[in-house]
Amino acid sequence: MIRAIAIDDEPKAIQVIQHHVSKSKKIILLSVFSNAKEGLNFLKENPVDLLFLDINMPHLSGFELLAELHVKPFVIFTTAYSEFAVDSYTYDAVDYLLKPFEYNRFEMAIKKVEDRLAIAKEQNTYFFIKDGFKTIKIAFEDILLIKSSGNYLDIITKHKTWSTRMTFTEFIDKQLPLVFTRVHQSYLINNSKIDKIEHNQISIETYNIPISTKYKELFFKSLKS
Amino acid sequence: MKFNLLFNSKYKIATHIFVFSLCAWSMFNAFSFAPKLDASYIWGDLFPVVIFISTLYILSWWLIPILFKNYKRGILFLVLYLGIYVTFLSWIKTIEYSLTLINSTKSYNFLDWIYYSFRTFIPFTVMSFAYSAVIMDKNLLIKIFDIKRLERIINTCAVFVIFLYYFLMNSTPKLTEVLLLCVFIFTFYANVFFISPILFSKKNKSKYILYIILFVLIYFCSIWLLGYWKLNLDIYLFIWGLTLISILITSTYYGYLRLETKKNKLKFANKESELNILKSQVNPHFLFNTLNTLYATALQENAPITAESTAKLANLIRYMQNDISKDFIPLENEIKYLEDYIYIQKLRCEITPNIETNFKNIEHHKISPGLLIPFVENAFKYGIDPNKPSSLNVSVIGTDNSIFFECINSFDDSFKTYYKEKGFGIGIENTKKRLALVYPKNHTLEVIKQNKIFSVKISIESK
Repeated sequence: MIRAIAIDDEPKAIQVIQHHVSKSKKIILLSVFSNAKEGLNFLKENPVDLLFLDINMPHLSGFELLAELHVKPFVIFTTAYSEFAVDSYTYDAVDYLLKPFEYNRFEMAIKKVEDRLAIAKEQNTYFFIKDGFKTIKIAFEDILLIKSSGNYLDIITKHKTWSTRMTFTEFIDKQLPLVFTRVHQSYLINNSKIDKIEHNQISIETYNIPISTKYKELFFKSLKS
Repeated sequence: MKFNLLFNSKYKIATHIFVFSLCAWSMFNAFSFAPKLDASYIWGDLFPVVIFISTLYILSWWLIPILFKNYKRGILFLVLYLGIYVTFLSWIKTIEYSLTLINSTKSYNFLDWIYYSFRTFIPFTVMSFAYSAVIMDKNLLIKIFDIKRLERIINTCAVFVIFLYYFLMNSTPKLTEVLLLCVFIFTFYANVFFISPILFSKKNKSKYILYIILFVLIYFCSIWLLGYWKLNLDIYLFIWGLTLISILITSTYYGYLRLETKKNKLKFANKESELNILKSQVNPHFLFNTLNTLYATALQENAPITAESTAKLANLIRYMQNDISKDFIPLENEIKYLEDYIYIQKLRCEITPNIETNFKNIEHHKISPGLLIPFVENAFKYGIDPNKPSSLNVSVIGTDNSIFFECINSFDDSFKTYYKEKGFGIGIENTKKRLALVYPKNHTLEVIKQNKIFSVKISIESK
């Protein structure tokens, strides 16, 4: 499942995306934003695979929004303006949908995203952290959860816990190949490692992680993917 | 003052007959003045004249038009022709020279004659260039005059070429001759820019006579001052008068063209601004956003056909706004338009017509936009009655380098269609013209109307 969000100042335009998404079985909408700035803040804190983005929006245009992101998710522009098509190449957009777009066209775009995601995930399976003077390689699939404490992140794997100077935003920027979800102000978990969910608590191996109300809805949505 | 008349197809033939008879007359004159008709005369005078005239015609009817269409090929042909021309002419001249060699003081060799032939080619090129420019394409002329800088460059080049030619032709240039050339050029441009506009403007025509008299006086005075008029009235008046008249005629024509194109441009600009106003009234962004809203609303109300047709209508409008103005578009876009158009037209019909479409290998082809559409539109206008059973068969098939289009529809005079009164075949006539323009030699078009079946077949070589 592709985890996506949509940013468009027109509620009706978002409805179209929601309709098409509900028809497709390959994609899930984590959230939608009619305010570009809120969307930007969300993107800085939460990992997503795909972004449906309108270009002409008040206060912050789609292009400006992308310029503020260090690592960009895959982007599909949805706009009524055909004249931006050339500019969209600069932002490495996967596709450019001209409103109103029909479901067939939407599906074609999703297919392209799938292909690109598959390639990205194949290439990106591990990353490096600094531990004192050593540099250590960590595979994404070994991570159970990540806990933030001040300026440090505790990266917890099955056998060992690493502590490194990093923020959540920096970690999310690494183009995650697996589904990591924010469940609390200071917890990011690997969805595939979940053993049990009880009330507002997740169990992974011997760890118990609280789910905060702020992230609850998003978390349960991402479970479906 | 309609100088253009001279270049109308009606008068063109007359002009050519006139030119030919002038040539024939001069040749006849030469014959009668020649002391005796020997070989050297035929080689030296008759053949070159034939070559000169044919050069003029070959250049202005064949080579220069190629140059306008495809400058690379044009230049290649021009250089090739120049080669043939120079070799041929210098060969003839050498033969003539060898025949009359006996009492010549200066010895010429073949190279000198090549140089001589090359020099004679220059005025022919200039003349035929000007001629073809005038007869060929009004729009091209307008374009040239439209770009101020281009016009300036051409004029500067022309003046430069005149002087260059003078210095090439005369081994001993004189100051007075150069000044005389300056007088001619000054006369020409003064007439173009200052005097002829008065003639073509609506008021103050009497002023024109005053100016032209003043002008002629200045012209003759300067010639007299330069010492080319030795008060031997009859001959000099004739020679310089003839020069003046030819200068005046050409420059007045040039001035006329300038003004005319300026006027046209103004008209064109007005039309363009009108169009822009119309375009801005139908603000595309508002339009497409609204259509998107309608699309969303239709989805919300669970009305799939309304939703789909709204989206397809938006596609049609987008095609009309973007693609139609381009020179070439991907064939897929054109076919998408046909599909969407057929979909929407089908909605109109009470009895769904039997429509079959077949599109194969349409990728990687390009086509001039709007060539296929008129036929499908016509099929719906004249061949499909919304209230009676009817049929339509559209196919587009691409091969390695061609596109085949076929549109076959039922046809019955008793069909009641909304558009019948609009006149049949206007769209098809236009398309024929466009096909001939865009694919001049590599297309076929076949229209057959029999047994209540109307069929159109087009093949285009797209690569």
